[in-house]
Amino acid sequence: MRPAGDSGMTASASAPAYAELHCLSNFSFLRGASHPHELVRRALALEYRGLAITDECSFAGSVRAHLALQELSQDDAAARDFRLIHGTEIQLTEGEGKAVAPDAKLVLLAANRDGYGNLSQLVTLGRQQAAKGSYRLSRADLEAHAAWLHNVLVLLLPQRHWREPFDAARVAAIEREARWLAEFKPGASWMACELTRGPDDAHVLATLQAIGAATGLPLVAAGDAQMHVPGCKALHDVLAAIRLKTPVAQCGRHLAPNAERHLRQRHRLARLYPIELLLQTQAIAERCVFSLAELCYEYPEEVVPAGETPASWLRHETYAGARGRYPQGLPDKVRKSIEDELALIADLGYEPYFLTVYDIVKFARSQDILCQGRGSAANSSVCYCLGITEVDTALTETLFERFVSRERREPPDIDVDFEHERREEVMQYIYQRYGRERTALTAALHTYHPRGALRDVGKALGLSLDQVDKLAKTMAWWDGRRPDPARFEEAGFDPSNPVIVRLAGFVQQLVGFPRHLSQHSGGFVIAQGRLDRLVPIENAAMVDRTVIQWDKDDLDALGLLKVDVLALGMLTCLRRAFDHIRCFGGGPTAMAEVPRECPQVYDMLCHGDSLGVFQVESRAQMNMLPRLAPREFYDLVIQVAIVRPGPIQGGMVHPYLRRRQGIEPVDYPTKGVESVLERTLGVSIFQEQVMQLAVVAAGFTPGESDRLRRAMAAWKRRGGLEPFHDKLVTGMVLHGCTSEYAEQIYKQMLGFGEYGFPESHAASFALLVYQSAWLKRHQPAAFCAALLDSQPLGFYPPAQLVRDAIEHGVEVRPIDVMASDWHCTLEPSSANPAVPAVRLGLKLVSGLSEEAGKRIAAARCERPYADVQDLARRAELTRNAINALAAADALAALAGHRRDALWATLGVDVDAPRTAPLAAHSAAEPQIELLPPTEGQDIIADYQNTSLTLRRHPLALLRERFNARGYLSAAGIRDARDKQRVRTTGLVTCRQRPGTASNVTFVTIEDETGTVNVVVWENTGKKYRRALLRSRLMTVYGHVERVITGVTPIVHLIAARLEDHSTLLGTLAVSSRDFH
Amino acid sequence: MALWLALLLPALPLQLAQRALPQPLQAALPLAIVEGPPQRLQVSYCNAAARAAGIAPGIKLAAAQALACELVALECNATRERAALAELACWAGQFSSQVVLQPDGVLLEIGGSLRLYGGHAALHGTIAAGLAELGYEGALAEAARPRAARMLALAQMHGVAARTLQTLPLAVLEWDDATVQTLHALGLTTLGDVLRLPRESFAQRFGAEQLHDLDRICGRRSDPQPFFEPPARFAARLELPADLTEAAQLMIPAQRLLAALEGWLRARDAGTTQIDFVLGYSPNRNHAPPPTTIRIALAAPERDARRLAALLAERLSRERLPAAAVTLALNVDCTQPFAAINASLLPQPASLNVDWLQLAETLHARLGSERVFQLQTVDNHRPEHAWRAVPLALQIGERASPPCAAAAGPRPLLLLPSPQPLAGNEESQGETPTYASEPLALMIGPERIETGWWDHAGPASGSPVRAVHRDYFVARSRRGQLLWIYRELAAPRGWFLHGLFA
Repeated sequence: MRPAGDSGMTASASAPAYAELHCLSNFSFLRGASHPHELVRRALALEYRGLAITDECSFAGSVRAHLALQELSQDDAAARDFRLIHGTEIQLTEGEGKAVAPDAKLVLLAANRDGYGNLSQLVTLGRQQAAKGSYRLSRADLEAHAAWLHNVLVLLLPQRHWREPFDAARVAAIEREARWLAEFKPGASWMACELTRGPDDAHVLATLQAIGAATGLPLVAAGDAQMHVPGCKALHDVLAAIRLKTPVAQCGRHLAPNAERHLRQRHRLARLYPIELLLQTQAIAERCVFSLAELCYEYPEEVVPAGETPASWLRHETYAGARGRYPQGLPDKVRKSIEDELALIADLGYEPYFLTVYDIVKFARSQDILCQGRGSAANSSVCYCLGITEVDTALTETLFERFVSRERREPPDIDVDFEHERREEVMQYIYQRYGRERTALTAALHTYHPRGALRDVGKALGLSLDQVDKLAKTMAWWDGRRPDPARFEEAGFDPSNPVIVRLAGFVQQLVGFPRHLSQHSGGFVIAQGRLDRLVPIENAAMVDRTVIQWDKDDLDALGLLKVDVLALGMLTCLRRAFDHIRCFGGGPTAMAEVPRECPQVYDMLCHGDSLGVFQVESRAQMNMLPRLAPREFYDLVIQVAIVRPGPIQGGMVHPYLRRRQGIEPVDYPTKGVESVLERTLGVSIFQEQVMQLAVVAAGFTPGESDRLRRAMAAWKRRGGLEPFHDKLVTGMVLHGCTSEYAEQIYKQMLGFGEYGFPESHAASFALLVYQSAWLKRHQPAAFCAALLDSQPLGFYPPAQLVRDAIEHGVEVRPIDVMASDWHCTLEPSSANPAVPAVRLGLKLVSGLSEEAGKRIAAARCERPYADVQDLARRAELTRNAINALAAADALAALAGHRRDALWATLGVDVDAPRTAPLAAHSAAEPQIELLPPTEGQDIIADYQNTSLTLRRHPLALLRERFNARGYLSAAGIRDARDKQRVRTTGLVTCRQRPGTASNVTFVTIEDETGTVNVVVWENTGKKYRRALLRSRLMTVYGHVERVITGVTPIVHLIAARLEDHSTLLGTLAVSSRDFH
Repeated sequence: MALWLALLLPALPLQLAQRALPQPLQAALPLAIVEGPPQRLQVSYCNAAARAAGIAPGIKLAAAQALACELVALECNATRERAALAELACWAGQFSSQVVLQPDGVLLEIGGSLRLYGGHAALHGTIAAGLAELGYEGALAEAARPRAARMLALAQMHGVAARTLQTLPLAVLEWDDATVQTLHALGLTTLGDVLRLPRESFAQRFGAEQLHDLDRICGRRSDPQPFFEPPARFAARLELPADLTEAAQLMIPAQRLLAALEGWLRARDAGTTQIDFVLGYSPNRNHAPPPTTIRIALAAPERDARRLAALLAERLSRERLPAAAVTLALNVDCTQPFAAINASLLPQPASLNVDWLQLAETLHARLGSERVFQLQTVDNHRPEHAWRAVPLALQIGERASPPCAAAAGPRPLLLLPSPQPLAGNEESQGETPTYASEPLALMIGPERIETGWWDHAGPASGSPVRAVHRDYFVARSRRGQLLWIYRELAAPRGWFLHGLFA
């Protein structure tokens, strides 16, 4: 709860009209203490004529204010009449570099659309003249761009800061500034008189009046509002302390002296200001007629060639693509769906959008960059024909109608994933084709999370770093919004201590406050004309990137369109696998060539054998695969979406599985529900289904459903889903559902929140699941090589990828300077030359640069290396590079075992000129005998220098000891009976505490025979905390839980006791001789 | 023949921190020394109690706190460590005139002192006992060459029972990590392994400098050492365990300082007639009590730590500490030959050419330092907190902090110690206030001051908050007196007089 305002409106009823023309929201980061919507609501409650949101050189908060007003306008006539003014506060500066001095301070207000565009350009200029997060504008800039002040109203702020004394020097400066402004913007400029109970308001007023009379600059009342109610003053102080990086108690007069900078009651203003100053505010507000609703987006034109309309061109290209997709002739069903879709697109006027995405995808294709579209509009016949997606609509039934609906008029949404290493090329193409003034990235608005809020507030309240850290640790368990006093107590703080109470209060207020803008991962906005007249553009942290001041939600709300250009590692991996197949021969070389619906692929997935496969390789997904037992493409769509926090928290997983297995009947409370949930057996799994339920089962209008979607997305951050609860539940009961069912759907919505997975995305991902699974099943060597070269990617490190490949019969050969390229390569295997083996690439050698690795491969092509000196010389290797090769055991062919190789490389003269004849020094050197490394030492060195080993698993060396202690191997655990008490030990490869099950930690341990999935319940975890957190080699005592569903039993080890045996690993290095 | 003794203090920062804790806590409290940038502090040393909780050097502070929530984490303080080492070197001067300062201890040439102290065992015993008196634990080792002595002591610190150089692990060479790792990678683990390599091949691979170092260790190359110059003036300082409020509790730390002093004096063959103990206090909100200086003056030069301790104990028993002492320093400015009796006087104070300084000196002398103040403005909206008294600076440039700009509004020269309610508070709510039964005319104002919500009156956060909610006015009485008054905005509301304009 935010503090409430002071009561007693009655006295204001007869007070003169007032519009606040100078008001900062919390989008003036760490200055304003109220959200835009709070300010708008409060101004309306006070019956203001209008309110200007004038954030400092920014329009970042304007959409939020606009939305708040729109929402209020739905049932409040006064709101429809209310003037929301868009403006900005600018502190002009003079001078350069360190000698910057503050000059006049202004509020600039947009009078109409043109004025708004002008201001947007001015803000863009100010932002682009300074580093990220700051701005710089001078009087000279204003004079140079005087045209940008057309249709702009200007207020001079004579008092720049409450700290500044109102002395003779200041008064003289005000007079100069006023004279300049009156001349610069005659008839559209004023002097703002801000009386906030300062030391001598009467004197200030009189002085300003005198200056106004002398310069001809009229006076207007303003409030310098930075909070909606005075109760926010303490938060305002805390924000100042965070801004100044100083505890509140030491901020002194940098804090506001009082709480007057809020939206004040009109009757109080009437006592403070002469009436003409108040009436002037209304006169100004009347002149500001711009609303954000006037912004409309125009698509780029160049995507259509001359002589064509967008509609004719889209039709032409779609059918051209269709001929390629269906060489045997277009099936009638597809032709019909193309026609339906084109009609819908034409109805909504979205042709240019599809053509823009098509243009980008076409560029990627021309450069051989693999890409794949997803999102609501992507899974359509049109997109399939245009090559935006590979998801054949024939496989999924047509999803399109479900996503782009005529009634909702939602903007279509297509995200395109590109190979992550080559996305930059696509981005540069977009900048180049459409021009920087028309293109920019969407912003990502970072808001305060509880942890960050706690850190900042803690420091502002003067707690020590130490204490703040301890407190922040308690945050891991907070429910997201409200601090839990019990956790404070656990951390050693008294929850009733006033400082802690205060801290908790501030944290709660601060959570959700905007903190800074940064760039969205790849959302492009492309405009027909200048983008900076639509929204200001800022510099991003990355060189050559520019970002608009609005984030994705803001764009959505205004109906502006963006194209997401995203990076996806799996696409890189797929492209590499196809390249390998092309080189070695014997398989498909593009996504479209991969055979569809291969039963062997589904067999493999049903066994949970999915390590390396896109999306379904996590432990949770692997456990789900045998239970869900996918047999066709749509099953994969569900598989991708079901193991997510949304469906899990909503309790949808088990009902779905039971129904799928036929244990539970599939039924629907109403016909309407059936139409929505039929394809998922009556259980809602996708985000869209929840929205559709609200419409068909609870009678929501499409608009309400859309608002529900936004509320759902923001629920975790801001709450605010409660108002929908009653409407939803009563609506559903009225439409024939039971109230239990309705409550269950509501609960699902809470769970879905930010994590709900839309069906359209799941369908695109499912395609990549299938493609990668197919490669794993039929081209395991190519797939393994591609995965290794695309690291980091997915859940598993190279060691596990290689071990899995070997288990699947792939021959893997060691890194060798006489055979390896930079990337992994395929060689004919020893067993059967038609079957490929993987030769590990030099890329796996830690500490070797890509250039050096490529030189090694290139120089070897001329002729093989004679010895280490020859290698160093011809491949121009540095000392570090050649030592790294020795450490990685890549020199075995030239110099013998690791230690001999290292001794040899240390003796190489890396500075010897390339052209010089080979020195004969090696003959002169005395021979030395170095003890060969033990197997254990080699294994450890392999891990250290290449992150994997092709020798035995390290635990194989310790097995005898384990046997003596009665530890089972992973294979032993796999074969154990249900409920059998066992003990085992293994290397910890993964610790996971899923957000959906916070009282359990999943640990995966591994030995030479496989992996064991350990479940550690909260109490056991607490008791053996150290072993749980710190073990590399963990010994687990517990019992086996064996569940048989589907084809493969799922085996877990429920831990009762944990021991840390990491020290045993150390013995491998020094005393592994013991085991020989 | 030269004989070197290495005296190393393992984990010095930790020892310094341990030593500052009260005895019973030293073993029980998990303690860690942390280093690094503020957001990524790492444990560099920790005591046994911390180890028992699973903390080890190298882990993040955050992780350490997760393992032991009562962990005390202190940051390294290089200055303090340097000072402690210099102090140790001063003290060691009594055993040898050739002391070499090391980053973690000292090297002593003891070939000459052996006989004086009665042989190896006796000298070791004396040094070990002395170290304990100083509150340290150290590792001692002897060898014919300084590098070798240091290496043996390091081996001892690492818990390696190596008696000969050949079996020493490579870590004690203290070569750069990369070189040691390379040697390990070659399967070489002891100094003997390295010494067996062909000299030419070794130098080609590891550089001539490393070969020279091996030669210095083996005595094939000379190894001159820079000797420590003891300072002419003794100054040592200790940080004290938290709440020492009883003067008597100061004796243990004081004895450590006196032991160090004795070593220093012995090394110079001198004594002293005047010792200053300075007690520092922790700042309590706005100012700290000025430090207490206890001066012990002696008729004849003295250096015996026990005798000096007895004198100090006598003086301390009469001392009342104004607050918990947090630092104890011992300063000796001049020394005298030990045997001689020296009757010289204190040096004449340098004449000051600034009049007010002379006045201040006189005031100090007449009234005592603790009674002479100067006023300073403070950056605060609340009038009663907008000034403070600070000890009068005697030296130019010794000002505590730069004065800040004066308040923008009118402020009276005389502020009442506490606001005085004006008559008729209850019923004249919102009306003109009266002073001495006369109504006041409001001249300037209101100036609203609402702040201070965070400020507790006492040290405990449970004490009342000193927030203000006031509208200030400049008011004139019938007699023409200008008053600074305010209207209290929080209940119980009312008018108050806060100051008088001249």
